[in-house]
Amino acid sequence: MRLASILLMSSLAPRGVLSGRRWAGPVTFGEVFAMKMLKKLILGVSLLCAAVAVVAAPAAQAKSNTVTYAMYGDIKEWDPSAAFSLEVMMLVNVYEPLLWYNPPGSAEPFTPALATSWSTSDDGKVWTFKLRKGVTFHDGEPFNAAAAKASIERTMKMKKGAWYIWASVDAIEAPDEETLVIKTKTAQPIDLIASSQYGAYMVSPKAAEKGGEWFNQGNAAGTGPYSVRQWKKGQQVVLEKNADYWGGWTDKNFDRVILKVVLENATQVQMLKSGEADFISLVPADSMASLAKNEKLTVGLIPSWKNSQFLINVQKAPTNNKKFRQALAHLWDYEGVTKNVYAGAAVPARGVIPATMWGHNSNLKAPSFDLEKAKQLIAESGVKQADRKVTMAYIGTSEEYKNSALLFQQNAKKAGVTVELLPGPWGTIWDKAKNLSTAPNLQSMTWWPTYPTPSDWLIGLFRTEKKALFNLSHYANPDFDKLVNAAVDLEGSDRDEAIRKYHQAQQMLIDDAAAIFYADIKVRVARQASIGGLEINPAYAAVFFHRIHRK
Amino acid sequence: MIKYVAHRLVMMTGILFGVLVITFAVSHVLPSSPVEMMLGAKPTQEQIDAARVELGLDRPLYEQFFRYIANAATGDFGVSLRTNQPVASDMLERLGATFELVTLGMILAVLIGTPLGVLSAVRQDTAADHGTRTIAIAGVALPPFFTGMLLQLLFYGTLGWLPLQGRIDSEILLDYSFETVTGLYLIDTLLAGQWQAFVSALLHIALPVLTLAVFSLAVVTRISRNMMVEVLSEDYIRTARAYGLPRRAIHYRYALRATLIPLLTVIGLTYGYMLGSSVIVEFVFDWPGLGGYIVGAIISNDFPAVMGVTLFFATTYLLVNLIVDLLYFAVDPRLRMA
Amino acid sequence: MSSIDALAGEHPARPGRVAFALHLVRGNPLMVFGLAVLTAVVLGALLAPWIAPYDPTEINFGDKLVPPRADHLFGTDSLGRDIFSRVIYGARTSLTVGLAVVGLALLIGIPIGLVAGYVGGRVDAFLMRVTDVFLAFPALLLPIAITAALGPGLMNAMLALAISWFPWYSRILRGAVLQVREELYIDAARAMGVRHIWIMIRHALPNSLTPVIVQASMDFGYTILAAASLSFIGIGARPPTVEWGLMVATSRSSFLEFWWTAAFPGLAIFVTVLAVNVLGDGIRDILDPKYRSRR
Repeated sequence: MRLASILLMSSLAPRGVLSGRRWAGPVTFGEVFAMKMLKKLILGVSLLCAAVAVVAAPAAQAKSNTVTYAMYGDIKEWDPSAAFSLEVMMLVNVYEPLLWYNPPGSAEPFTPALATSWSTSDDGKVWTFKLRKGVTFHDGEPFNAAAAKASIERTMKMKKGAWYIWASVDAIEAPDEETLVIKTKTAQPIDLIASSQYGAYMVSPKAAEKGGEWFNQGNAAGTGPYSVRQWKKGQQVVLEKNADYWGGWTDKNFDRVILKVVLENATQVQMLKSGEADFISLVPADSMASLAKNEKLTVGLIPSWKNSQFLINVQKAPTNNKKFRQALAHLWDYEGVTKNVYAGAAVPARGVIPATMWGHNSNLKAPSFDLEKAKQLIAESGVKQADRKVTMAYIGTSEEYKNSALLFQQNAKKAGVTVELLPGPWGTIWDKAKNLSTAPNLQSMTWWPTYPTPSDWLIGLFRTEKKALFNLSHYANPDFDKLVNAAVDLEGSDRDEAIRKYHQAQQMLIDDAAAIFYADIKVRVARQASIGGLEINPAYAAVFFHRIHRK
Repeated sequence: MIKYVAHRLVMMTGILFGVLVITFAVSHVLPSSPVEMMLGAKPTQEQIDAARVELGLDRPLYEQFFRYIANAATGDFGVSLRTNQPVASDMLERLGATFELVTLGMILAVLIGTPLGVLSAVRQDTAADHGTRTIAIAGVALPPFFTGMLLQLLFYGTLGWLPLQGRIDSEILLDYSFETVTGLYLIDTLLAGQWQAFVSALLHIALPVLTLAVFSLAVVTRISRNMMVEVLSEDYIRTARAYGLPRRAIHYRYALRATLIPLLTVIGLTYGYMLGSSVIVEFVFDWPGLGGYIVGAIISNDFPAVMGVTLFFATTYLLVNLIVDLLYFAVDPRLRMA
Repeated sequence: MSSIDALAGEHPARPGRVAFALHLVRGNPLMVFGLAVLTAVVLGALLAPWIAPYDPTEINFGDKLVPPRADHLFGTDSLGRDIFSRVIYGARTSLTVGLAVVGLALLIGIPIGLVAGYVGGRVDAFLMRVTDVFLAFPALLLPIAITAALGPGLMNAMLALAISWFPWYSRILRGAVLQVREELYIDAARAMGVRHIWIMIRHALPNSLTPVIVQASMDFGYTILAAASLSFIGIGARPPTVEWGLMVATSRSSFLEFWWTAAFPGLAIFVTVLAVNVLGDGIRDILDPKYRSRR
């Protein structure tokens, strides 16, 4: 059939067919036709360009009271009880918890938010909060003890996101409108928990009734300074001033916050330079220098509670050999990675607890980059030459992981160890790492605490798990478990003793080489220099837009 | 005619079923568990188990397949693991952006490519022909992602004339509100009479459309040149000329109609290439359409989204070609006898 | 459609393939260019260890992001790796990918097309519907989906490209076999009781392979481009593999400041694919005059 053959042939055409037929007759009609079309086209395009140029000129806009933040992903979970990711940028501005945690070094550990005062019983099991009066949610519902109780109970019941911070809660009572009593099974730092960046926000009971689906259409009902005005999926979230905010408003405050989704860091950098964005969330290491030179911009490194390590699988050959693991830890170029790969936005780690968190110990004995020592340990380990091969999995989209891994690969080669790189999406590599048969020898991991406690790392990453979840070293050490369990129970009553035990536990992990602890992460930030009032707080990966202004 | 249409429809349904089988197979040999992806940071084992049941991953494979077919037939592609929204609604939201981009790209490519191809065919072996052929060959050799980046470097980085990414200015989107009627910003803004917003949308779409057009321009030029050569050699044209019919008559009575057919084919075929390269182009320009969506989905292993978009693109492509064939059928009476 | 041949009278008489080929090459400066560039690329790939001034994967933070200069012709990337050396080594990857994908697609496509064309009937109808299904996906979409499923990696990307490519060859071969099938010598073989499988392999295949080979030579460039695109969106080659598309992708975050990190690998793709396409076009003209008049 002719049609079919033409379709087939012309489908091939894009990939290389140019007709070879020659026909050189004195034809002009096609020519005329072609010329006419071209002429019309050129005319049309120039007219359009002219029109655009005329109109585009006055399109430059004033943005006095708007602040724009470039997010590297869209909001995924709008329900504050379930959110556990980038949403924090929206959450801290739209919702409020009972308490805010203050940055380390502040005079007071907490700033009252929806609670004005609080106290705990001597045994640390009963916590009483006095709540702020006259606060209403964005939907007009009043905030009171019943609403607070309902919020926390909802989170606990939903079992999503960070709900487990409340796992030890026994009962919540609301004896009167302004009093909330939280009773726990064991002594717990409820003040810390109530200031968690996830899972501790107060939500309107009326909104809560509408359920997760209502939230995920881009709705919110908190008590915070901003309410959600618009959500264009994949493009932007716009927050608008909540005029009734109990904290009040001044002329300096921003009326409007645009959270713009910009996936690519190069694009973010350009938007910052052009003034289109006031803040960006991804600052490539290589751009820091050129941004710093720009007078209109402020760049900086701020300490965080995030740290990165490569967990070493202690059950899988050849890394089931302790000396071999120790050798790997000596093959890591700690200075090189933090200085060059992270471009200074990290410091070499000492143990699994970052230096910015209580419970850290800078006197731990940690391995250093030492090729000779590594070679010696490998020789002592008894691992045969042919078996000196390890696999290394990391999140493929992370330049830092990738470049660190490439550097490690190069150094390991010098010591006769072959490293196979296995980048992938987090979901995939995590799933593989959980199962011993598919697990890599080395697994990338960046950890941060849900609320400020060292136990988050020690329990989350290294306590024995029957079925591995995040203990991707597959580390199982009864002595370590005992130590950490004891320390957790002491956190409320005897913090010094708890810290001593945490120190011991950390040294144990280093000696067992359960991971290459390599970097305490600093966050690279860049913003317009005209933004004032910014306070850095590692407890929240977010900007409190109500507290900043344009100078 | 009806018989022909019916035949084509039956065939298309068969092909679509095959496409479904492939997408199902592909999505179910995924080595990773989607659950881990869906839950994000630090879930508990309990949450993971619950999610597996929720996604139906505990069911036998054949049951999953029938559910997949039944759901797909009703336009339900499941919930995206990455955005946490139903894939269908995510796609609906982004459809307009892709349609706008691809259609505009195609119009541009056809408007420039067809006359160039015709010219090249008419003046074979002249400088014009060689020039056109060179452009055509060079165009398909340029990787779309590289073209896009070069254009960004030039028009944004160096000249500062056009925006780097996105579909419209944030503040304009907010302050010059316009209703989403067609999902095409260029049309919606005009319908709403928001001239500022229209200009912003136009400036934003310029570079992506250009990138897409460069790649497809080559394709269009090649095809139309081939087809024109064929049209020129048709007996009736030569006969018409032999009879000494006035040129204008030949041009407008015969030639225009003759080029209409190739033009249709070109549109149908180019559409597939456009859809394919739109994936790359949208990724480069952060264009909030289906292409960018599928890349994001791949990077994060969001298989319901990947399969939803793949299925949708395949269906669209089939439909476009069906329409082209039918038009072809209507335009060219000779085919009815074939 | 035979009118074309009648019109071709202006051409000089064809004095045989080789001479005709030379005539075409000479008359086609584009082809000379293509041949020269491709030769250079192939030589570069083969002799990479001797030509490249540096180890393409050697990290050297001391020379990070150096702009093009005498000791680093194309500059260095963010890990201080020499881009010139990487571009040269990248030729190895791209050429291998092109060969492997086209080869694999031929390997899958040829048997299917051969059987469909020779056996005909229901088998033909079924096999062609199968290829229809594969062709229903817009370009690049199927490879993307398959690679997403198999997991990222150059091997998987090549496999995915081959899987989505083979239907073209099946169809072209089938068309050619359909014609050859009716030839006398096939009938003769059949009459002599030669087994079908032998007829297919010995007679039908060799006599209908030319258009497939022609098409394959032209697909080579597109394959390189497609593989680079997959690498660019992060599902193709993985480090430490040196691949042009991946190099462009890696430098995407900094190319507005450090243009050379993206420009040279991008140009390498462009120039190579251009050369291959020009050559493919030319090869078709030379190899298969029959091809032109058949449609």
